[in-house]
Amino acid sequence: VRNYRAQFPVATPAGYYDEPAEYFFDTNTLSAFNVIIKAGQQLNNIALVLQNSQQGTFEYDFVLRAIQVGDPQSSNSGVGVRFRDPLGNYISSDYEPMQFYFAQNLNQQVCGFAEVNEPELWYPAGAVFFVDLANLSQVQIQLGFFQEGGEGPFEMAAFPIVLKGVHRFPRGGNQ
Amino acid sequence: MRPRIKRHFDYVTASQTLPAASGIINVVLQTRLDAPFVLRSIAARATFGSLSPASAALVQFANSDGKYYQNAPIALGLTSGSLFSATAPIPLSGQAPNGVYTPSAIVYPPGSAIYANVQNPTASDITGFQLFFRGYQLFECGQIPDLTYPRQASANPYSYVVGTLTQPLSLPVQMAAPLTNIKIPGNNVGGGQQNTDADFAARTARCYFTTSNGQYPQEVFVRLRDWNEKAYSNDLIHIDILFGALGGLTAFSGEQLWAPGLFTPEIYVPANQYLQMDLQRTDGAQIGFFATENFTVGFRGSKVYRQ
Repeated sequence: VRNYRAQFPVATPAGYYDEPAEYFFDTNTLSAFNVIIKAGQQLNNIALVLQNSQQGTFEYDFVLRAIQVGDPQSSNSGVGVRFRDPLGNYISSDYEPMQFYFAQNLNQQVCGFAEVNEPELWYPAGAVFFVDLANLSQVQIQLGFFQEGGEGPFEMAAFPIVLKGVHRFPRGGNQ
Repeated sequence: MRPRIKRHFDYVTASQTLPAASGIINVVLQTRLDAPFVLRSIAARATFGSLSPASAALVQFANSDGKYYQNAPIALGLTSGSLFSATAPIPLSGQAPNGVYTPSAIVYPPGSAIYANVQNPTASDITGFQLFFRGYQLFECGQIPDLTYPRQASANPYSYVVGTLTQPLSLPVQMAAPLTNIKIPGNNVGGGQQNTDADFAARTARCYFTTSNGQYPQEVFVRLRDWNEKAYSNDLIHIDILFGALGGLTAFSGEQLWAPGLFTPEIYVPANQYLQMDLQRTDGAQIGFFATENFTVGFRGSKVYRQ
């Protein structure tokens, strides 16, 4: 039968081994996210540093397999996102509503499934992950705004972006 | 066995009202004459106003010989993968996930019939009731273009977005006829840039409304076509089924996208060609306040580069 390709979990290339890795960014840890975006405004080339010396992960390659964008307080619903691959190419033709990168778990306003990248994207050690933001709505958005008395039982991470994947090491290396 | 070509296809029954406390209602769909249809999953939906009674609807379906796969109509949620909660049963089967898959493929020959029985045992009418038979058509080699991966290729994850910040796709509350020939890649009606640098394998799709007033559209229907105008369904399909569910636990929490709609098999668009979309919104008869809203669709998959 033609025109059919079964989809398998991504295999680790020969000569390497993988360890699970996730990178987390939000308005508390990344000041560039702590902004007000006017209707129609675009904020491009926000850098998310994948490795740094404080974490001791500077020498690790990161293989991105999924992206998750959260909206705990349901206050960022008009935000559009756009990402780049390691070579700087966009991986979408335009801004996508952030909702394409999460699925809420019932009404609990928390992140659900991540959006899967197929195939995976291999970011070399020291790489920077770039994200573009845009306000797709017709009203001003304060990114990650926490509303007192909202549905959340406590203050949750505001506008979290989670990059999910693995750190990849050469076998026989010095790791 | 001669090689054959799989092509995604959905059969949907006409929208109908199931009267309260109805007896068994027969539904018959004729399959197309061009190729056999292989059924892989069943889904169903009703209008948002009929969510609660629809969860109790009973369904039974058969192969082309009239042989039923259930000894009696059984609850829709058990047949078609509804999501249930203690407070609000949701018979929107697009999200859980994309209907319930049949344990084995059921083949309907060209021009045969898909028989189904439905019944509404509740005290309320069920409006806008539709059954979806999802799967693929099986074409002989040479019957349609054999679109698949080149022998040598590399791929990159990619999303084509329709209805963007700079080129919004605006949907009025009620459309007498579908908006047709919306091109992917490209934007909106007519024209649009073609995908010149790579093939595109579409695996999932999601949609979203950047609503201006907090009221999410409910009755929005889509039909996909290839660049030859050949459709991927016999009629327009509700976005909850084709693009994953938009509805949440309440009728209007449309921002909750549970999971994307899946194409099985994936839809392969060669370079310099495009996918097309027909789109129609028919809100107005439902409760709530509706306005013209911008609609965004993202087709996600891979760009496939020839080497």
